[in-house]
Amino acid sequence: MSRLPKLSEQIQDVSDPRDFLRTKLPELVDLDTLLRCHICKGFIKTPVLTPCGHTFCSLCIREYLNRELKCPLCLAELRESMLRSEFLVNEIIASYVGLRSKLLEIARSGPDGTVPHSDTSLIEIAPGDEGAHELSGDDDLQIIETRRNRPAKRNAEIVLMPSKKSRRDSEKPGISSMISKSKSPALPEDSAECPICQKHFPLEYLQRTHLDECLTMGSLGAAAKPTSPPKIGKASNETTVSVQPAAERISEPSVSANTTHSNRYLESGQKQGVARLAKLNFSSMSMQQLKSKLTSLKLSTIGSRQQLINRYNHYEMLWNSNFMDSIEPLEEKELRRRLASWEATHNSSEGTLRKGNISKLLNKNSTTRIKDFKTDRFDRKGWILAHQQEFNELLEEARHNLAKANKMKYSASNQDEVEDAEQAESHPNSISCEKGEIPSNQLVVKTEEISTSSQGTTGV
Amino acid sequence: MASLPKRIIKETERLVSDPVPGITAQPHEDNLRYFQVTIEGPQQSPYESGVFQLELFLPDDYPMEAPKVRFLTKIYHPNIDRLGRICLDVLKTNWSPALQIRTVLLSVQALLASPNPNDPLANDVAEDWIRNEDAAIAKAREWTQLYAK
Ligand SMILES: [Zn+2]
Ligand SMILES: [Zn+2]
Ligand SMILES: [Zn+2]
Repeated sequence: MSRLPKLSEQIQDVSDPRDFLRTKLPELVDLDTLLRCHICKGFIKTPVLTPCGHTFCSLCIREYLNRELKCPLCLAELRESMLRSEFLVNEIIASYVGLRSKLLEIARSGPDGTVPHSDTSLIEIAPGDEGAHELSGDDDLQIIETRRNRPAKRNAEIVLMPSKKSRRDSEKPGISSMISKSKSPALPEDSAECPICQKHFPLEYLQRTHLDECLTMGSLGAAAKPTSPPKIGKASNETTVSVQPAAERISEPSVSANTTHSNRYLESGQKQGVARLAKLNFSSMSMQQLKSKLTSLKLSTIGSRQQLINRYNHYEMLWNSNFMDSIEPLEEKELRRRLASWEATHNSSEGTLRKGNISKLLNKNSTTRIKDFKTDRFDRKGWILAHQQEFNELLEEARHNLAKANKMKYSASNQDEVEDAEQAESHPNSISCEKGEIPSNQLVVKTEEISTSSQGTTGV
Repeated sequence: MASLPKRIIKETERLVSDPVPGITAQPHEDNLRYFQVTIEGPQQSPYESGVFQLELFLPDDYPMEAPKVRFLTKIYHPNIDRLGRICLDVLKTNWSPALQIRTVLLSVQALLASPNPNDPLANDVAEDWIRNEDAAIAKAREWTQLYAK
């Protein structure tokens, strides 16, 4: 299959479950859908579970709960204090996300097996992957005894295994830290591989900035794109080792990634020492009290009362998501940095509403104030100039894909599967609507897994 | 490109590449949060064979906040007022960020298929509808012929 043009790679970075629709593995549409947040549509980041059994990104659901005290999926009553983190889901998703582009590549390869660098079909590769996973699981259980028997394999892991986790491990008790302790010495000091885009970055940069962008904020590939100039430029200045040629990675089962995620999961647990930030009743607080509260959190006290309130509210959300939910909490310093970048785009003087996390993305370019869209202050000209061409390209690309998809539909050998997958994906939406059940029970009109899972509980 | 939320790009791409039958939605070239929408009147409804123009706007807090949708084409319907505003719970109290542009437009289409005069927005229309449904439906047909061509 021919190499896709650049822009469509960007669109792929805004990945969609339907990427798997017309591949050899359309079944993956379902899995890919399940691992996504129904608020932001991205892969769930720092998953939290509700009592009604639904899972969202910690930040997405916390932000929503500032507006409505109900579950977005089933409308059951919900409060922030009811949320529980799901470390296992976190690692499953991270593991999948790390594999996804590889899966897609394999699933898209031609019927003659035109995968670059190998003639392996997925069917052959999958058991290998699984085997590797099981092996590493065994390692963990048998602790260190067997480890020395396979130095070569470990070495391979060492090189690929980036995270600061392994350094932290030395301070931690527990099975996996005993294993990883022995790995640490061989780690390239400051370079680490992003589990998502598999590019190498300076460790600190990866953790502080890149991972976040790559995973959730995923600013449309700007971060994840291997060719993205600023990030890579920065990375290559500081990166010491580029571990493996990309081509080799394709055939190599991601042993290291599995181990990392398993380890992270094993090490996860109740965090200590950091208290939840409370919601404040601002109406009973003086300006002075408000300021001293912010000061105690090392936050700025500049701005109007409303700005201070917004600042606290947003920080409280970042804080609680980070320290209550995250498997690997960031430092306060980093939270303050995120607060600042949020404020740069949201907390303007007239802002009285709490602004969406998502809209933060709108405004990397501070000259374009999306926030003022509805007012005359919005710089429409600038906005158009900045984005129209890209957007036209996007639409062009979408049409192109549609045409291509239609063509493929007829030539595809696995036509049945394709159609099944299509039905699975689009049918539930249209069915419930076309039957006209809508006005009384709108929330049935959602994607597949919702309608099945919420049927029992929906009491709209 | 990095400045548009991922979710909006995703939805837009999908709306264009995989349109809902009977519904089109195109982002306005001046404003990528503003969509020009057409909905075909559902079969066996008084709006059959009509094509209705709507506008849809994604507020900057979308998806925390519901999209704003309004009919531009004149329509005789108990849940749609003279300004084209729509009485539809998913656009108001029952909005959930788990919904999306697609599902909202499907709901609007479904509302055309099943007008609900007991939850009216246009009171006079709803009264007509309750008092004499046949006449109201005839009038809705007539308006469809007049305005939604
Ligand atoms: Zn989310
Ligand atoms: Zn729920
Ligand atoms: Zn990355």
